Amino acid sequence: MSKIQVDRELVRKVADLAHLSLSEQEIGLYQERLAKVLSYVEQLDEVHESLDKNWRPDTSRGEAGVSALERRDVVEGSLPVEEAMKQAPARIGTAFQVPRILE
Amino acid sequence: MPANQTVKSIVEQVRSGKLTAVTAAHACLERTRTIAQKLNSHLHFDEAAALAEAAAADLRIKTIGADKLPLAGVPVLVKDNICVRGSKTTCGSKMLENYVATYDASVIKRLREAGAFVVGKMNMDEFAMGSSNENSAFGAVRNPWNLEYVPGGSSGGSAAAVAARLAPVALGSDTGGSIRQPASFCGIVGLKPTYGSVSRSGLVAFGSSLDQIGPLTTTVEDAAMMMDVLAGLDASDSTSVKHPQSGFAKALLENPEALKGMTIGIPEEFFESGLDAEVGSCLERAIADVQKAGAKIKRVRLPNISYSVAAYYVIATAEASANLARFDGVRYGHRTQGANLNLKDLYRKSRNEGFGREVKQRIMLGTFVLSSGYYDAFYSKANKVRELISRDFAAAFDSGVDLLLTPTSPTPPFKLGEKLSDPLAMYLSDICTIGVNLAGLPGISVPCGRTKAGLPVGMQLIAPKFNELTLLTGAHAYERATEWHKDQPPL
Amino acid sequence: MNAPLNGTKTSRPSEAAGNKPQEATVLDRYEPVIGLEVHCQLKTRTKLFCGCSTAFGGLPNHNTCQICLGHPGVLPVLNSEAVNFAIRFALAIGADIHETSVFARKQYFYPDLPKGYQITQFDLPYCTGGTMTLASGKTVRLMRAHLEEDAGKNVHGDESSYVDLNRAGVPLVEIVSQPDIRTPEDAADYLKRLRSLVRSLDICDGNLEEGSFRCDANISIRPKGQEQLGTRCEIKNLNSFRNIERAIKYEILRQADVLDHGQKVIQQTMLFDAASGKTQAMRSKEESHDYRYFPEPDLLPLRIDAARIERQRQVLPELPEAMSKRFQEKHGLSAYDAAVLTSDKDLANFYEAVVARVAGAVTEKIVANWVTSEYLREVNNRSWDLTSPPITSDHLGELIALIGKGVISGRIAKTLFEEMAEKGPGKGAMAMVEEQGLLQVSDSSEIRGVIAKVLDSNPGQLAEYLGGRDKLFGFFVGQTMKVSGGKMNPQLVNDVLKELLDARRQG
Repeated sequence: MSKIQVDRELVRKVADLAHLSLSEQEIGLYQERLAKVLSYVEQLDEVHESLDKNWRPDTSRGEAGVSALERRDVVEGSLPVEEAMKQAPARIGTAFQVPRILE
Repeated sequence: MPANQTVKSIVEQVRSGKLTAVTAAHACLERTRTIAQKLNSHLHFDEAAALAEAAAADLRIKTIGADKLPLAGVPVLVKDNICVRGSKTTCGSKMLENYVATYDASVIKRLREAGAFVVGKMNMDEFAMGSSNENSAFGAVRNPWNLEYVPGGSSGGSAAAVAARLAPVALGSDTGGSIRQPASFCGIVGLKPTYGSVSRSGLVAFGSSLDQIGPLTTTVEDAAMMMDVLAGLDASDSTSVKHPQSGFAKALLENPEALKGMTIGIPEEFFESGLDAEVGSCLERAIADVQKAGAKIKRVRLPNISYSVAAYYVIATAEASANLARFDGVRYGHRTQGANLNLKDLYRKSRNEGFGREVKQRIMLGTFVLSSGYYDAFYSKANKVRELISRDFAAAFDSGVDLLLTPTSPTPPFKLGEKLSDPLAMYLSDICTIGVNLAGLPGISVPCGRTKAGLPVGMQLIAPKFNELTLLTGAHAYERATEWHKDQPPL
Repeated sequence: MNAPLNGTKTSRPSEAAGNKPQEATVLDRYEPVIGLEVHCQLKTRTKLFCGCSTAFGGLPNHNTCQICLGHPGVLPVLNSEAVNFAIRFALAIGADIHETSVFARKQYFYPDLPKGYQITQFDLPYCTGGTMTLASGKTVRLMRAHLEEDAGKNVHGDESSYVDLNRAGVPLVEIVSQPDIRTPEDAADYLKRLRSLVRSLDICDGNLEEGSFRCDANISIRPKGQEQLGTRCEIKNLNSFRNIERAIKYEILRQADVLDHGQKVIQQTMLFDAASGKTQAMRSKEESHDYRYFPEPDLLPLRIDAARIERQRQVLPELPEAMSKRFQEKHGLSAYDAAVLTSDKDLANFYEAVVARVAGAVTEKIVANWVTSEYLREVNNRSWDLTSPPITSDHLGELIALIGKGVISGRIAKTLFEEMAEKGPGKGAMAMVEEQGLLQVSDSSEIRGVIAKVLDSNPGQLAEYLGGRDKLFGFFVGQTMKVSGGKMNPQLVNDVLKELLDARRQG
């Protein structure tokens, strides 16, 4: 199996980062499934890298020399506030409501 | 809708005054009413809204003239991860069960400008994550050729409906094969354009560097007509590019025997182990047909292609884990009913309830591969492999190959439930299509045979970046030389 | 960045014992090492990635759209002007502008962060390097500056918190210094100069209270002579120059106290409480900070070519340092006056406008004195907005010119200025002088009469003066001015008084 030990602790840690409250049963399920997928993904280690040392995926993205599209600094107007708020599960006035952020 | 209508035939009839958008819509809706339920292909089927859209299209046709509208009167089905203003856009997820899009995706604007209109929103694997359409929160879609079988995914609703002729065309999205594989499973044509050629604005993101919208149609010519309208630079998508080519539908008419003189590359890796025997024999016959149509066949190798699934599942899930972070139940979307929760528990419960199993699994995988200590081993490495795979494709094309020919899927459609318990088996069903997304290339699936059980088999053609002209003219020449696209499911 | 932070109290070991270390002795033993991070809100009309207005102070969520609300399917498109502003900043500090830079996603959950990630620049910022020179002569090196989007705002009620996303997506340049700063005074000076720079570049309004110029400080201390750096603490969201200095001072003493008690400084984030003057630790998030940065797939690399940099260089205004030099040379000002006047571009413009209005009636140095003392005092006391002050350069120029022309005395001018500040400039200085009959008396016979009366009504002092107490000369000047209501030409008063006293001495 995977070189990485996918134990319940790791699954919990990842679920915490991803903001998912998994049940104990789900933790078991994902432990098994993640272990399986990760051990498959680890075959990437076999690939012989023939890329230039300075090659980076981020800077080489897009067609050569093409920069991020830019837009002019012109106000296009915002959503009518009722439209912005309409689908909020909870609101007060025109603000979104969440449980009190404590501490 | 008469069962043999295509995009092309509708436009012709609208232009000659024999058909209006509203009558086309009525025909569509009537057929949908009787068949859609069997397939579970539609998520939103609002007849009044569809007719209102058709009426607006007719008005436009009247004012501007059908001759100036390349898709005059064409009813279009839309995968439910593409925003249509005022219509629910659920992405097949409980998370967005009640979410109503507040704007139109750029492709929707382009379609309407061209005279087309939306007639339904289609079922899909939740957030486009799946290869069988069994991951929809609103039930699996069934394959119109055999209701016990999956239609493929994630654009399963789109593919099943077009195969069942509920409309001549549907929009899908393709991150790792999600247009081509269901097109193959349902016996229709599915085009994934070059990355950047069709705007992603309004497409709910899965893997942003891989996602691309494209059409599912019953003929290559219809796909070309759609590409004429869909492709184009869009100021609201920073990764969109002005396509250097245009006039795809016209090119097909002008060059109906495009395969003559072309060199078709056969990547050996796709024909080695793991290929279903029936699919293999369909492909052998297809290669022979291509040859008969005047193409030369050349065996090529893509040395790193076997790593494409591994690289894909790192990159796509990493991007997805961030793309799906916005679903937190604060501004819209599912929010847990639990009382007296603190902020963190509100997030965690809302997300846990709103997302299905496969989506959570991929969020977890993506979160893990980006997390501290694992980034280099997984995310960086996967991106390097992605580059190597892109270079393998480029080298193949540089060796004098015009198009590559592969199976679209290593297997024919499988039974509902057959692969649900094994995530890897499901992931591997995309092995033929994923490399194309990693390299940002255009690919098309066209019908090339049927299994003994009568299930469709598709063949994939792949072209260099921004060369949809070669892709579509080649696929069209093959289609002219064969009859498979004319078969319709026995509904 | 507004990562979730929660305050809890940590006390200094000696607080219980009640013996705080003294600043002077601490600085004898320890060397503070300070680095500053500043977030400058760029003055673009629209947000960094969408066309919503950046206007401050609207009702909650009135300046939002699908993009800055993080609705499904939306994509960011970069604001060209924000990039131009960022380039101007880099040019002004002499930084290296990179041909290729990359946006990245910084991931964390917080209600004011609608997408669950912030689009920022991580390992490839658009510029690195550059320097700022301080009044102390110290040069502070800059590590980097990068473009990023701001988060929204959470407002906390009793039972709920409320999320306002008007600010979400507003463009920021984050400016990170090297840990080159050694004193709280230099830290404050660095920030003042940085603020003055971005204001004169017209890329940021530099408002600390409204949060358009925000500062975090990283502080560690080490025993003098030690090479190795100590453990650092970060103080967040310091909202005035005074508090910045206070907070850093306090933090240095706190860390010294910890070390003096043989304990270790714990790396943590602190909040400064202006009321108590103390820093206190924020409880770090339960989950570890793992931001899972990766390149933003929705944006291609940002490529800034030489031509674009050159275009921005062409529109750079005169920067504070150059302007200060020019003020010293052209207006004959001291380095100090020039620095004060050029610390703010509106103040500098105001000064030059007054000089123009005065048209040589008094020296530029006198104008500088008026602007830096009288005028700035009222600006501070009355919180005038320097962009549109109630007393304009015309008003002040007219007033000061009247002194030079001998129409009024400096004392009367000051009184009039205070009146203007209190009641508004009205019809101007000359009109006030006429209405109130304040014209300066320059008629020597009138002056002679008044002085004679003053001498006669103070026989005691006169006798003392004549007996040799020369100091009493000032007394008679004062009395004369008092009797005349300050209207007499002070030079003439001097001359005539001297003449009359000499006459009496001899007589």
